[in-house]
Amino acid sequence: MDLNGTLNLENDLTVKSDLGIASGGKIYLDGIALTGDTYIYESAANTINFFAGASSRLTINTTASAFTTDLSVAATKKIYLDGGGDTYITESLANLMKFYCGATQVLELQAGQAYVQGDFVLDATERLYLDGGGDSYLYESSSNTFNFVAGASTRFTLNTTTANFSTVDVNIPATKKLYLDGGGDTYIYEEAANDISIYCGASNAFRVSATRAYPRADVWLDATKKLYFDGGSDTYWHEAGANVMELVVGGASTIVARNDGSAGVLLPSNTTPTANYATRQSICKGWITHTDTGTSNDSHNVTSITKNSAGHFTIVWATDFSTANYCAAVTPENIGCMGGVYLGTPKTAAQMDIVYEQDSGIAADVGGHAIAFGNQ
Amino acid sequence: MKLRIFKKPDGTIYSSCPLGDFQNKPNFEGCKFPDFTKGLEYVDIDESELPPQNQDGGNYFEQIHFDGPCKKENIKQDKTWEKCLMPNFLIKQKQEKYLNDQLDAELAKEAPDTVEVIRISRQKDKLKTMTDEEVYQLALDNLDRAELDKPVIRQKLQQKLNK
Repeated sequence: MDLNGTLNLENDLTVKSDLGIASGGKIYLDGIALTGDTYIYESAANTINFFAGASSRLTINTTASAFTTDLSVAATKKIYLDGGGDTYITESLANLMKFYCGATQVLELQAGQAYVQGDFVLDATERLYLDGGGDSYLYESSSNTFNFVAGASTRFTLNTTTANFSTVDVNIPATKKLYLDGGGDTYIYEEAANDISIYCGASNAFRVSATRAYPRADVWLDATKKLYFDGGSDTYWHEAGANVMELVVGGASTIVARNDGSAGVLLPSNTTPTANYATRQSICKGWITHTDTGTSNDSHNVTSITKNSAGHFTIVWATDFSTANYCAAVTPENIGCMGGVYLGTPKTAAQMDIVYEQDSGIAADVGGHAIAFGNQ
Repeated sequence: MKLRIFKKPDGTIYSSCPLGDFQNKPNFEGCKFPDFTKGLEYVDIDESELPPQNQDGGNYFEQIHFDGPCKKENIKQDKTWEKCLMPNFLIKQKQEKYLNDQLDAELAKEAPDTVEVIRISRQKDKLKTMTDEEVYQLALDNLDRAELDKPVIRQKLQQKLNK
């Protein structure tokens, strides 16, 4: 049958073979050809449009099906993405939506919650926004470097070697510990209000409060480093050289203590004495107690004593005086005689002669003591 | 203790004792000795090897000398003062005793000579301020007075006076 006009049927139409409609021709579904507004037709080559109420609701072509209305699937029913296999989306319970891939649940969504049941992968440098796409997000800024951005500024950076906070304070609650050994026995925490302790190997190694810093272990300074007492200005202790300790006060060396093969303490020089203050001018530079035969029981800064004759000795200093104008005192180890510096051989910076005599002026063959003060 | 014994030009000695750590150093390395010992020969000995040198028992440092070359075995003690000069203080001591004996003898007389007593007392006073040269001259005079020969001693005293 070939119809060139309109065919109006009052009853159901059963077609027993192909039904051909010319391209662009519409199949009206609201019973009113030409003036109805709900129909199906090929709007372009290989493109079928479904109109309802004069608007296109679904367009199908060789590559896609496009709905222009909501697509509704009944509760618990699945939208298969693999032709009815094992990859689909469904509302398994009221308001609980699940995504299955290869029969495995990979994502679960419900009001206020998204639950990923496998790895969650972002491409490198892509961001995970935490504020709906604003200025707070996480991302990999470069290979193996993870950035935390809040308010458009990077606050924390994590890479394979370091974790760096920037532009933000790091807050740890009171009494909570900052472990430095993975949660073992080395940590820092506020042990009491305004009282911070550092534990190392379970021992309290250092404690600091608003009024004191209390090292509870030995305090080490690297060689030549200074221990300031004035906030880093010009008063400090330091190791000036190997085994040489120097106390600098007001920028001037005041005391040097050494044990570098020449043990001793060097006092400051001060030609204007201050009461009860020791200076290098005020200390005895050499002394000896000697026998009548010219040997010594004990001495300091005397390299040798020589007996020249009875009651006449020469003392040679280990370290010379700077001039011969040093002060010496000599006393015999015997009552009834006297001792002194022998003027017949004027003393020098390096040595001095001493004599002991009886009241008669006759030599006394005795031992004695001698001490000397002066500049070296 | 160990000592370094220097030989004076006249054969007598200086006895030097290095102190402290220098006692244990080989050859007393680093120890300083009086400048007047420079150039003098010496030997190093233990203190016990030196003859007694204090005046107890009639031993005097001035009696110790090298009897020959500067060797340890040549260190001797001249107790008879044949080779070494008697120490000045001993000359004075002996002179003081001699003058005291004279003074006692004069005072023991029934009528002591006052002038003589004053003269002797004045000589005792002079002993206190007597120079070395005056002591050497006194020693020569005493040798003459005692009629002692001691040619070596006389020669050394004369050399001292000639200086």
